[in-house]
Amino acid sequence: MTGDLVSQPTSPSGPASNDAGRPVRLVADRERCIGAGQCVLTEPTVFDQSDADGRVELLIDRPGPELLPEVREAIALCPGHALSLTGT
Amino acid sequence: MTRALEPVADIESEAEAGTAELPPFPMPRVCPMDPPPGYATLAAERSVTKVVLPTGRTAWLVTGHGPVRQILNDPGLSVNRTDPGYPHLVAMTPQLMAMMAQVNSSLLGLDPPRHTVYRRLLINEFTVRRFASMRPRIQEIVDGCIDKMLAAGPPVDLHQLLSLPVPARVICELLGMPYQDHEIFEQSTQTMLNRKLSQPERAQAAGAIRGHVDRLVTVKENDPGDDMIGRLVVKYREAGLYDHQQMVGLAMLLLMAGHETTANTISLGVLALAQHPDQLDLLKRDPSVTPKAVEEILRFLSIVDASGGSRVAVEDIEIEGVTIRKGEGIIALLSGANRDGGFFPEPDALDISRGGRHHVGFGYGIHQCLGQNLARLELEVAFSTLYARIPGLRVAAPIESLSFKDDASVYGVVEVPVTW
Repeated sequence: MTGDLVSQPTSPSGPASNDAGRPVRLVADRERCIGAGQCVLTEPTVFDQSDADGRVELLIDRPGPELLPEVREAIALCPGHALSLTGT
Repeated sequence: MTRALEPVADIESEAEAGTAELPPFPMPRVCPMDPPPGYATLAAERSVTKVVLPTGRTAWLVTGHGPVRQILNDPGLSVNRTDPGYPHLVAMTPQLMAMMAQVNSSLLGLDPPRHTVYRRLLINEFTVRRFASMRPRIQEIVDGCIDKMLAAGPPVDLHQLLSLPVPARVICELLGMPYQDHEIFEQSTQTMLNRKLSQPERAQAAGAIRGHVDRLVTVKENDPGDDMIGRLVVKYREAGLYDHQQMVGLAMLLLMAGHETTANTISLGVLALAQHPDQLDLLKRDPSVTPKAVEEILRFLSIVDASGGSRVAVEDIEIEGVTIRKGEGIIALLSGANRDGGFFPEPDALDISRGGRHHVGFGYGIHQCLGQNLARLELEVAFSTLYARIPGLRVAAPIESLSFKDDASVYGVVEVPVTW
């Protein structure tokens, strides 16, 4: 996880933030998504699958620090490498 | 069917020179619940090893959690089972290849960009939410099977009374297939997947399934109905991609993949838990750990060890300092990742407290098992209900005395006598 843009969260309730103090954003690349559902199993309050096409839908794109461990787990498990966190 | 002797000639002509020194693949198991120990011996030396297959051809065997995931995720590799370099473990006769080609072109053997198009047509049928809505029905099916076990026994064969009928009923209902056909599918699937049987026998079994599924798909074409095959017929037509033969291949794939794999995991899982009574006690005391137990059982068993991770290079690739040339076959050994002590401490212990999904029991990368969330649900309901309703369940024979499917592309057990 050394390459992550995410460092110490500043607020326990609001979105986690990066070094520059901007909140981290979760990005889902629906072109890469293969609909395995690993993210939904990991954190159903953040990830969902569309009824129409089965691909990932984000319920939250600025996850708070309390959700980051699960979000990171979902990123690591995603078989299509469709998920990432960015600092912008 | 009269050219049955041809594969022998094929095997000899395919043998490569200078393979005598290479380790063979597959290797024999010593304990039926563990992968062949020879794989760990190879893995201790290096994670990429050239091996010789029963056909006389060579392939690269890849072990280790990192390298196996790297292979399963490499865009320079193909899953096309009709590619001449694909590392089949038996010689492919023209008949077998024709059968394989039909299933192959439906999804199983497709690479991007075609794979992307066809997988996307399927994935909303396989979401976590869709299967969650099937939970009550799966519970009913499992309860019905356990009612029959209780009425019949003890002792009873758990494989015949629970492991096989649960996924068979579920997949038949899901696809919209009459359940009374399930015996034909069960027998034919097992014959088709058994590498020990002759090519004509296997081809005939595949032909029986194909004929049956072909008639079913024809029925759905005329009256789609609200089941998976019916919905897919409509959807493929709307996308301008409908092809009868391809839909027959897809229905065969879903039927076989949705059935034999889960059945063997239930039976082998019961044996694995019997072998680890402390873990079984944990599960019985707190059924809420069942989802974790399911993941650990999937890791521990790796039932599609070789077939799940077979690839052929479509360009030269580098892995762990080894160059694999275009056209060469690769077997990313799923047990070689799932039993990697560098990733899973004490990898040969069944430990349900691990509970993660970092195993590759369902594969990894873009071809990861389409039906994994159905399998998870069936396994969870089967294990939790079995031990809740029959807490005294135990295996009625020494595990070593049972017959295991050593020559099948999906590992399993033939019979599981249980008592209580």
